[in-house]
Amino acid sequence: MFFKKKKADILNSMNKKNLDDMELIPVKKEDFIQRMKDLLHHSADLHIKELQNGLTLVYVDTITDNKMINEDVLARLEDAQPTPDDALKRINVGSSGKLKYVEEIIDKILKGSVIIHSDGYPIIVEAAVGTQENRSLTRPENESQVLGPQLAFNESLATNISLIRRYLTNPNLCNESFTLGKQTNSGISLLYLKDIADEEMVERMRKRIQKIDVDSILDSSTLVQLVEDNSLAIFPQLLMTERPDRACAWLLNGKVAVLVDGSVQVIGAPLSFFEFFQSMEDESVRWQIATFLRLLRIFSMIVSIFFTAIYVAALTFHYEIIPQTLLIPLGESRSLVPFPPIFEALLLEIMIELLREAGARLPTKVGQTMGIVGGIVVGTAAVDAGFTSNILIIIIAVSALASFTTPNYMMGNVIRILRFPLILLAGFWGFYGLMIGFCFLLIHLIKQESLGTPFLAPFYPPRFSDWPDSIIRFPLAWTNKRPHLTRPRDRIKFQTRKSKE
Amino acid sequence: MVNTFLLVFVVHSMQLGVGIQGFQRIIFLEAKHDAWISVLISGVATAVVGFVMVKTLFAYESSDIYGIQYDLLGKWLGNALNVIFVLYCLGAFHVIVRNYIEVIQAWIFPEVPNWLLALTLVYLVYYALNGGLRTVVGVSFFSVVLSLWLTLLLAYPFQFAKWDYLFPMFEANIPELLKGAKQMTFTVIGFEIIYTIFPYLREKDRVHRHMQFGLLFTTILYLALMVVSLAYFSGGQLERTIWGTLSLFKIVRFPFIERFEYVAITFWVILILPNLMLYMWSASRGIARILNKKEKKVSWLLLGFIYLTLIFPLNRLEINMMNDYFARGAFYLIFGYPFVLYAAVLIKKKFFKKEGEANAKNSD
Amino acid sequence: MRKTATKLMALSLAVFLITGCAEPKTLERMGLITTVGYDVTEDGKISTTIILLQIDPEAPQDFVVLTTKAATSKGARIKTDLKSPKKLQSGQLRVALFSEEVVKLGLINLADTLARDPSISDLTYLAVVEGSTKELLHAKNAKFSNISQLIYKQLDQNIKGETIPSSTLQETMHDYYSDGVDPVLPIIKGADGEIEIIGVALIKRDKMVGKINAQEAFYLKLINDRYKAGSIELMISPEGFKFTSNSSGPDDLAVVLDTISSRSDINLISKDNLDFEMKIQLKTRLLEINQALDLKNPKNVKMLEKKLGEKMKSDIEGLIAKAQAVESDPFGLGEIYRKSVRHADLTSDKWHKMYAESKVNVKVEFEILRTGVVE
Repeated sequence: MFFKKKKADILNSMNKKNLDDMELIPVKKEDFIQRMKDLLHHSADLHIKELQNGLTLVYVDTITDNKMINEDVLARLEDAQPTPDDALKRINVGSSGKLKYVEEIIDKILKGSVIIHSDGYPIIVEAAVGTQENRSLTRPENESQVLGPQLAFNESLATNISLIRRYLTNPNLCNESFTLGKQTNSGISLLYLKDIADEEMVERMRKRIQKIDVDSILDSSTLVQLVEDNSLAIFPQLLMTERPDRACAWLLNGKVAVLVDGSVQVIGAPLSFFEFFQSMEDESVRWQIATFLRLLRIFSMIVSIFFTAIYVAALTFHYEIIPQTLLIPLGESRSLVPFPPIFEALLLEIMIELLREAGARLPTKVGQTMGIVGGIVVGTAAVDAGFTSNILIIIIAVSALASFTTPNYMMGNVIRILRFPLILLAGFWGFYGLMIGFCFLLIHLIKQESLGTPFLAPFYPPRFSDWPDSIIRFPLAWTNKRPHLTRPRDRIKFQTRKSKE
Repeated sequence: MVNTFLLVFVVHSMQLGVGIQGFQRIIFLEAKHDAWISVLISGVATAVVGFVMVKTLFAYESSDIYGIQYDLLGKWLGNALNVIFVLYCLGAFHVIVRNYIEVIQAWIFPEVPNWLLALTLVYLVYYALNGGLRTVVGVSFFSVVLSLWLTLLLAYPFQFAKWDYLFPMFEANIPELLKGAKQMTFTVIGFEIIYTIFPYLREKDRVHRHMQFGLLFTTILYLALMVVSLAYFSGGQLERTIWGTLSLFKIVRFPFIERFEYVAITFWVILILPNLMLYMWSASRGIARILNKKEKKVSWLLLGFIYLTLIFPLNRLEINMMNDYFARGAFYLIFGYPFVLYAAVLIKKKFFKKEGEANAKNSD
Repeated sequence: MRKTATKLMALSLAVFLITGCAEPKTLERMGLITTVGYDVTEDGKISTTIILLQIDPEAPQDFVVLTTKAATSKGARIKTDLKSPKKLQSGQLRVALFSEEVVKLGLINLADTLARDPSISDLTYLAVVEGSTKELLHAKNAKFSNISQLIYKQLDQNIKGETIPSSTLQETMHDYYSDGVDPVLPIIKGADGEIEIIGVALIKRDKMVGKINAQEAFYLKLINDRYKAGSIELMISPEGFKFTSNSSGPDDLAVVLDTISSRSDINLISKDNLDFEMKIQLKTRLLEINQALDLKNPKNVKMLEKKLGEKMKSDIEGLIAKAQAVESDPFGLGEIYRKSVRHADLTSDKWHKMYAESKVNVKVEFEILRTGVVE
C-alpha cells in the first residue's frame, strides 16, 4: 500500500497538466490519417475508410459491429454534407457525440466506436458501434445454492451493472466509474445507494481506488488485494461474490460494491469476519435452519483449524487427557507408525493438500477419479503399510471436510493453510503452543479492519443490536435494522409491526 | 476512544490473573473456614477504592494519574511518583509472568525453559500493543467472554461439596478476617487501570457505574470460588493446596477429555494476557509522558527490559517471597495511596481552583 | 516499522525452532501405568507392583505386570524403569491398591506421594487388598483378559451404582486432612480368578483398624450420602405376618429393596454428653420377597415397613458400635461436632478420644412406595 501513495500523487498532477494541453485534432485529412496510424501503430485491424464526400471513418473492426457500421453509419453517410454537424445528424446510433482531442478519440476507438473525420474541421463525430464477446449468463458455480436466484455475474461490466439495476430499481443507486491500469485501462465501477451508504465509507473506497497505480487490473481478485486494509494480514478483509442478489443485499445494507470489467466477482466492503461464514441461502431458509447452519460453519471452522493440532498435542505431550476407552485404539493405531505425531500429521495434511490441488486443476471427471485414487487407495495403503494411523486419517479427513463448509473460497483457503503453523506449535509445545497460536490469531483478528471498520464486529466492539443477524439469524422481523458496521444513514429497513402482520 | 461499556471487561479481566489460581490457601490460613467473609470484605474494599479512584479522576476533566500527580506535585516530585507507578506496573507484569511460568513448569512442562515461555508471552504482548489500545481492550473483552464457560465447570466440584465445612459461621475474629482480606490484595488488584485508561473512555458519566459492575462481577466470582473451595477441600487439604482453583479442575472429566486441568492451565494464557498488555500499556504511557517520547517505542524498550529480568530463574521460595513483597507494596499503593491522592486533589481544588485545571491540561 | 516487525517475527520463529521444544511424551513410547499395588516386605521395604498398558496389537497380552522393591514408592518407580522397555508414566493411573499390612502401617505417605504428582488424577480409586497385591495382580485370570481394567471397572461400577462408598484419591485426602472424619477404602480380594469387593476398611487417621462387610458398607453409605440408587437384601423374622399360602418357606423372611431416595440428618443434641441424633429417611421400592405375603393389604405393608425399619436401626447401631470400638469415625461425627460447637478447636487426637465416648441415637423412617407393577 505505501508505495502506491507517492506514485498516485505524481499521476494525479500529471493528469491535470495534460488536461490543459491535449493534442488538437489535425484539420487536414492526410495528417489525420497519418496521426491515427501512428498512434495505433498501424494495427492490422485498424480500418480507415475514406468516403467520397470527404468524410473519413476510423474504427477497429475486431471490436465493432459490422452490421451497425454498414447499415447505421455507412449507408447514411453516403450522401451527407462533409460537416460534423450533418454527419452527426444523419448517423442512426444512440450513443454518439463530438470530440475535440486526439486522446479522446484513441480512447473511443479502443472502446469500439467509429469516428468520423470531416476534412477541414477540427471536430470529430463519434458513434459507439462496439460489440463485446460475452458469455451468456450462467448459474453461479462457486456460490451455488438450492434456493434463491440461479444467476451469476459474467465478465461484462455493463451486464453486471444491468443485473444489479434489475434488482435495485432505484434512482439512488450511484455508479461511479474509474479507469485503472496503465496498460489495460480497465473499467471499474463503484456502486452504492446514496441514501443508505455512509458518505465517508464511500469516500474512503473512492480514495483507495484512485490512489492505486498499477499497470494492469485483470480481475477483481487483484483489485481486492490493492484496496484491502492490511495486505500483511492472514485473513482476507473484503469479500467477493458472483451472485447479483448478494451484491444487492450488500448495497441495501449500506455497503459499497466495486465491479471490474472483465471479472465475474464483485467486491463488497466493509465486511466483518463473520460474514465470510454466511451465505445468501441463509436468508432464504427458515431462521432456525439458518441459525443452525451458521453455527455449524463457525464450529467447523474451529474444528478445521484446531482438530489435527489437538491430536498432535495430545499424543505428543498430554497422554494424560486421553480417556481410557480411546487410549488403546489410539495407541494401537500409533504403535506401528515410525514417525512422531507431528510428522505424521504434516505428512497427511500435505497429502490432502496435494489431492485438493491436483483435483482443482483437472477436468471434473478426472478430478473425481483422482479423489478416489488418492483418498481411498493411498489412504488405505498408507494405513496398511503402517505409515500413518487410521485415527489420524479420520481426523484429517474430518478437518478437511470441515474446511470446505466455509462458503467463501478465499476464507476456506486461509483456514486450511492455518492448520500447518498450528500443528507445528502443537508439536513443539503441546496445548501451550496451541494456546499461544490461538491468542495470536485472536489478537490478529482484533487488529484487522475492513474499510476502516472493526473486523470482528458485531462482537467486538459489542453491538448487541446487530447480534440477531451474525453467527445466528433471528426471524426476519427481528432483523429489521441495518448493521452498525456500515454506519448506514438510515438504520431501519422496515417497520417491525407491519412486516409481522 | 473506548466504549465505556467495555470498562466492565477491562476491570474484570485485569483483576483476574494468576492470583485467582491459588488465592484460597493464603486466605484460609488467616481466616479458616470464614475465608469467604474475607473475600467479601476485600470486595467491598475494592468498591470503595474504586469509588475514590473515579472521584479523583472526575476532579480533572480528562486526565490520568500521571497528569494528576504532575499537576499536584510539580515536575520533580510528580514525576517521581509517576515513576513509582510505572515501576509498580512493571512489577505486576513481572510477577504475573513469573507465577504463570511457575504453574506451567510445575504442572505440565517441567523442562521448558523460562526464556522461552517468557518470550512467547512477551511477544504476544508486543504484537497486541502494536495495535494500540483498541486491540488491547479487545483482548480483554474476549478474554472474559471466552472464559465465561470455565465458571460452569464449578458444577463438578459442587457435586463433591460438603457444606458442613462452612459452619459454624463467623468463628474467625475480626482481625483474622481483615488479615485474610489483606491477603486478597494480590488477587483483586488490577482495577487501578482506571487511573490510566480514564482519558480514553468515551462516556465519562457512566464510568463509575461500569467500574463498579466490573468489580462486582469479580467479587461474585471470587466468592463463588471461595465457597466452593471451602466446601470441596477439607481444611488441612486446603492448607496444602498451592493452586486451589487449578486443583478444582482436577476432577473435571469429559467423555473426550479425561484430565481437564491441562486444558485449564494452558487456557490461562488468555486470562493473563489482558493483565500483561494493560500493565505494559500503562507503564509505557507513563514513561512516554515523562520523557515525551512515542508510546510504542517506549513499550518496545520496556518489553525488552522486562524480558531480560524474566530470564533469570527463581525457585519457588524466591517467587513466594517476591509475591509477598509485591503484594505488600501493592496493598499500600492500591488500598492506601488513592485516599491520599484524593485528599490532595480535594485540597488543591479548594485552594487553587483555576490554576489546577490549566496545569492538568498542559500536561496531557 | 513493519520491516522491524517482520524481522523480529522471523528471528523469534527461528529461535523457537532451534531450541526450547518441550520434551515429548509420545503416547506409544510411554509405559502407561494403569494400576499400582503396594505391599510391604519383611525387611520393611515397599514392594511396588505395577500394571502397564501394553499398546501393541501383536503382543500376546495387553498388559504387563512388573514388581520392584525399594524404600520409597518413587524409588521403586526408578528401579522399575530399568525393567521396562518404555518410559513409565503415571498419568493414566486408575487404581492404587494397598495391601492390608501397608494400610495398617499407615497409608498417608504413599497416598500423599500420589496426590503430589500433578500427572496423577484426583479421581484415581484407592482400595485395600486382602492378602498381597502382588499376588492379586500377577494372578493368571481366565475370565477376564485384563486385570487392571477389571479392577477399575468393578470399583467404578460399584461406586457409581452406590453399593460402596466412593474412595477416590481426592476424597481420601479430603477425609484424612479433615480432623473430624476418617477415610474409608473398599477391600477387594482375589479368589478363583475373580475379584470380589468384600467390604470396607475402617481407618483411624491413616491406619487400618478394622473392616466391615458389604452390607454394613451399604449402611455407611446410607449415613454419609444421599442415596439415589442401590439395592439391599434384608432378613427379618417372619413373626406376626400372615402369609397367603402356608407353604413352609425358609425360616427368615428375606426382602430385597431398591432405594429410591434417602436422606440422613445428623445433629449434635448435647455437646457435653456427646449425644448425637441420627435421622435416616429412606424411600424404597420392594423388588423381591421370598414368601407369599399379601401386599394388597396395607396392614402387611405397614408391618413390613416397621419391621424393616427396626432391623435397619439395629444394624446401624451395630455398625456404629463396631466403628467406635476401633476409634474410627467414617461417619464424620467429628465434623458435626465441629460444625455445631463454636471454637471447638478440634484436633484429630482430641476427637478420636471423644468419639469413643459419644452416643448416637438412630431413628429410621422407612417407607415402601411401590411394590411393583402388579398387585
